[in-house]
Amino acid sequence: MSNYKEDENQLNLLRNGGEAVWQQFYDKHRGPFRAFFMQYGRMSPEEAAGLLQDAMVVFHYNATTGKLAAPLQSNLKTYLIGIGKVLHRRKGGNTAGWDDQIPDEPVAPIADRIADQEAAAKMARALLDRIGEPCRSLLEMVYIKEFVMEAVAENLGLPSEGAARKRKFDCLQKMKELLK
Amino acid sequence: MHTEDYDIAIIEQYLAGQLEAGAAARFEAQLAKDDTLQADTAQYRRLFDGLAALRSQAYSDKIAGWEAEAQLIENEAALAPVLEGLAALRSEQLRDKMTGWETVHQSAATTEKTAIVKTLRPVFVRRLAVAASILLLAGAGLSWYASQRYSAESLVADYYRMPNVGNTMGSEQTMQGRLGARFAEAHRLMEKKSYAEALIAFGEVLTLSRSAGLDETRMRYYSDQVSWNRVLILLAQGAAEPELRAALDKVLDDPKNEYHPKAVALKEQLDSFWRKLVW
Repeated sequence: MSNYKEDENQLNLLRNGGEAVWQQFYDKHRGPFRAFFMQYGRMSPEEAAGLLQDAMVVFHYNATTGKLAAPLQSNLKTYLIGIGKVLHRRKGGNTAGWDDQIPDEPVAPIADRIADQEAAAKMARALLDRIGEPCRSLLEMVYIKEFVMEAVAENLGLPSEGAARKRKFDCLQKMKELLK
Repeated sequence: MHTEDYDIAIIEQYLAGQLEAGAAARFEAQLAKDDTLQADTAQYRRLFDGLAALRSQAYSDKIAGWEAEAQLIENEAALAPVLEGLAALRSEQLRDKMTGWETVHQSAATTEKTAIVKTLRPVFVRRLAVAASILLLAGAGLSWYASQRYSAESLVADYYRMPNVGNTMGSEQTMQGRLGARFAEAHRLMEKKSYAEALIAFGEVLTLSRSAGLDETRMRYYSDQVSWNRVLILLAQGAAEPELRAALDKVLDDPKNEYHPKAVALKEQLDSFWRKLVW
């Protein structure tokens, strides 16, 4: 039995939910996150807000790709603040005086992946830049802007959702060829 | 479905953990004995990871919007005492006005008394009192006129028009659907005079319009709507003069803005003598 059932349910909601669920999550954790880094990291409110946004990007990637999944080793707030701590360290910040406030263990696998995430984003961006239109727009609509296929078809002037889906697979295949 | 497409669809679902247990087991069995499928799956995993990482990066724009909203709400709370103070000042101004009205009433009463005891005062004093009364009445009348025509409330009522927002039900699945729905909501909030919420909603409209894949004409439509309604909201909220002027200048500086002529007219009214008489 997991000790973090409620957080696992929340994670599941985030993974499958839309923007509103993420905004709710952001609003819920914004105060505690900023307060933590303003107190322990001696950050200004603006610096803490900037760090929160960076931490949210890392958290979003791990949550939506299933890299952060049940069973959780900690609650989601600890994960988010832990990611913030790792990012703060990466920018040369000192956490020595308050390291024990947030344990490193649960966040360690995520921290190890931050560089991979940045490299993956860089690789995908480079491939999208090379793939040309309309594949670039189509893949961005599907995978980055999260348009439904109907909207993709509408935006690209394709006759149907099915046609858009077929074009998506063609573009993915083309992108895979570029990867070689 | 094309065979290759079918394979990609299955690989994508498998990597996303969306295959049912039976289908996943069949796929894994095939994967174990097919080197090409293994290589393809590994490559698609890299692609989907890269696209997911880009999607998460793109979220930082949205997060920035949420932060702006949160700060706005925070600032509203922080500004509450200031706004209350300004409201108190406005009430104090009303007290001054009432004093003026009272003087008019008293002057009128004095004139009546003077009429009764007219033999006791020289004619020129009586005429002076009547003239003063007329001046005071005229002043109050002018101030009333200015308030009716040039107060923030009147100006907003004159300039705000609800556009045809159409039927936005059931279309929130698409980015354009969400944009349409939020736009309609922003105008409903304007109609309800919930200006702080309308300001947030228009901010979201602007963000959504930039990522909804609109053509230039539609982008321009939403951008013009947002910039003009922002002016009206700041006016209605009694925002600081520099903030209001900066928002108005943004519309004035863009002759292609649909609301440019209205902005010119509004500026004239804000600069007019009458506006200074508004209490």
